[in-house]
Amino acid sequence: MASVVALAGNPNCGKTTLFNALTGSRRHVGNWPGVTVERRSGALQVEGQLLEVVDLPGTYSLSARSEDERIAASFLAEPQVDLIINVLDASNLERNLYLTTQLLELGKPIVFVLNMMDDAERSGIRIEIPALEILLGGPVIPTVGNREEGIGALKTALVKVLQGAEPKVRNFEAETAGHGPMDYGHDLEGELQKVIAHIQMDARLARSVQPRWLALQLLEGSAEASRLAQESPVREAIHTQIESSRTFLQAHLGEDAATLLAEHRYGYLHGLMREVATQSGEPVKSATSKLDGLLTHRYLGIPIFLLVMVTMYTLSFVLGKFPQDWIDGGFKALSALLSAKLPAGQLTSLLTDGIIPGVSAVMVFLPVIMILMGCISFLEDTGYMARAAFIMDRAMHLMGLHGKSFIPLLMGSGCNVPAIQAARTIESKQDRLITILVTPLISCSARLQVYIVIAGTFFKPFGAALAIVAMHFLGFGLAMIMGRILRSTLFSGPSAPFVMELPPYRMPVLRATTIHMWDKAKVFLTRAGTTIFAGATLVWFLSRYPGIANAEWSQEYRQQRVAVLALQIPQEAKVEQLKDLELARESRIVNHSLAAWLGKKVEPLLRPILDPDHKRTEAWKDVIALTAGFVAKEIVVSTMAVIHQASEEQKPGEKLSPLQVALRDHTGLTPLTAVAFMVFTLIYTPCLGTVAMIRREAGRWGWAGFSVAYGLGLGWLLAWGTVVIGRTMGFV
Amino acid sequence: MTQNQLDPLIPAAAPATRFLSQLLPGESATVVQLQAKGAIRQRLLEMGFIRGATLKVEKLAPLGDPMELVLKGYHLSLRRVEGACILVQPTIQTVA
Repeated sequence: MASVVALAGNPNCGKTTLFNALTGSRRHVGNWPGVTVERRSGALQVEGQLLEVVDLPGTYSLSARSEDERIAASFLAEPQVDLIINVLDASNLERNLYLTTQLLELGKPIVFVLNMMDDAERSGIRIEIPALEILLGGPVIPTVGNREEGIGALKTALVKVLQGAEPKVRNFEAETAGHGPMDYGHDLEGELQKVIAHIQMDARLARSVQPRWLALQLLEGSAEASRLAQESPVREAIHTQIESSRTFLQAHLGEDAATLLAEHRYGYLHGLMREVATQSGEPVKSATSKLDGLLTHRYLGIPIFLLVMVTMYTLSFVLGKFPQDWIDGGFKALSALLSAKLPAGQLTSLLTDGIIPGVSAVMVFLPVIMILMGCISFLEDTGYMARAAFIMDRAMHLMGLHGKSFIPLLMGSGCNVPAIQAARTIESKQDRLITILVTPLISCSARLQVYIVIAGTFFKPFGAALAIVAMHFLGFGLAMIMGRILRSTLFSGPSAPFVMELPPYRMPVLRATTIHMWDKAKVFLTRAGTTIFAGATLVWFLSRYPGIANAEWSQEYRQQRVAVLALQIPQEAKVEQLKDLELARESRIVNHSLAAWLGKKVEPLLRPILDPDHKRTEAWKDVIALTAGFVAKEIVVSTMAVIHQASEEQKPGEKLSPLQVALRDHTGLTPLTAVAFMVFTLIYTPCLGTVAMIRREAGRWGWAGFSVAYGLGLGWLLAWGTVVIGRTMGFV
Repeated sequence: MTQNQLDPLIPAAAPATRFLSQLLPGESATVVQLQAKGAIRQRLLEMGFIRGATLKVEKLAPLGDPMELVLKGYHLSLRRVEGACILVQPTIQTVA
């Protein structure tokens, strides 16, 4: 049986770097049950002893107000946790020790890691380690996480403590006859003892969790502790005692219990710091404050921030486009090769039109996901992410969002999928969910391809450019409005506090960034990839059947090919004719497919948008294109080419491609309905990749479903509004 | 200005209390009372906003909100609405 070691500490204390150093490659990344907070665990073998290290979310306390704190608190209280590693930032010790005061009350052995010793020394802070060990009652190991200094000593200490062979571990409970490592003073201790007595009336509860810890948590009003107490048969008695203790404390000490406890803890820490830490000389102006003078400068802060954003965007979407094109080209070539070599038929089509494009649809996301996640991890590790939120918070707050929402929204204009993954950096669940739900409204580069074709067909170049820009503004404006609406309806609870640490700037460790990139890619492939693949295959099925199984059609097609091949014409003309034949066959299959049947059924619903005069006979074909566009929005264009049997490739010397000519002359779309079509394409639903990512990041299919449903509703309304308003203004 | 105004813990002679959000960059103060409730209050307490804690307003964000503070030797940012729930007593600056 492996011993379970929990890694606890504040955000920005270097916990994850330490975790990486301890566990190496034997690690598992997933989510904590029921929530979308990352859970990292890894195996570690020291002196023949197997340890399982679990990295807890970084928290400032265990009062269980936020999701992160609830997870950390409930995991730490579990009996299976044998040992806690408490990582402390030596350069910010007092605040870091606040969490420690709560950890100590769990009554479990703790090994303390004094990380970032180099930072502390540089700013002239000297820490007396032996004195700290006595006061905290456990070994204190100084480390410099990003140089892996002190990891060996830490491993040894872990084993020694687990074996019960570490004399530095103090049993405060026994030493102090009742009260723990800290004495909260006469009144608080008196009330605590009363609560503890009530908890001990339930022997099972008192065994499963340290009674003093539970009593403190209950007095502080922790949701997790209340949940534990609610399961007890003596919950009534405990509840009554808590209420009476709170009333008593308020009356006698003039403050609520949570404030009193916090004051005592910081009071204790203030004294502790005096004993263990000395500041030699005046603190010098640190590199961080010099850098901050520039990076959050009143006038330069925003331009520098925008420059950082442009760089990140360029790396992800311009540079990332190259590997993306190679992947896309590679799969297309593979598909073409197979369809040339294999006998035409259903299985070949499944492979070349279903499976290969499906895998390709998943793989093309990988470069941009890895680059963007790498950039974000880099920004977080340097400490700049907090500054970015600091700079943008006011603007984003107006939209009902958080300063950190800016990056997902901006990156959404490249691709929504990694943008939603980027929302993970937003700590508060509410803010994260709102950001995730509005990001799909940001027009991405896939949708741009649709606008280019449609706007290019119906407008002169200047008008087309204007229409395309308008679409992007519309998307952004909608995200803003929906952010506010969601904030005041579904998420109307008090908004999470913005109180955010601005950690010192630090040089990130390259290894941590690559590990992070790789983890994100893996998560995408296993969680979202399967959904995208399944959806792509389903759409293939809908758009090919039953036509592809029609033996008569296949027979005809083969005969036509043979006839063309027998013609006495130049080779190029032959290739051209064969291409036309293939397009004609595909067109026939798609236009008689289940998707076409569906399109005809659904078309009346979309008639007010796409066919307000009910004059078009082919409006149902738009529905097929939109259905196919669910896989990825750029597919709308290639599907239109197939259903209208007109190539999307421009012939040299012509302004419009055959598809655009067909759209203009034969489909009955007017400039106004074309705009409505663009508006609808912008909003109607996030693409499959985005939906899969929403499901993954919001934690529930419910939110993914919600995003599709509100997209359809909103898209319809706005496209309809476009038509109605356009017509009253005299457009057709 | 009397001598004991330098000690922020003596209210009688100290300058009047203000809300943290009203302080200007460069001003220092001592926390007097938290008027926030619920999760915000809890978070502020944990971050060290307890009675008697000294803090300094470092700067405002380029758009005027949030504000950056130094407290217990570390930097943190706070929206001004949140700062409006923290009653503080400005420290008299001794200019050398």
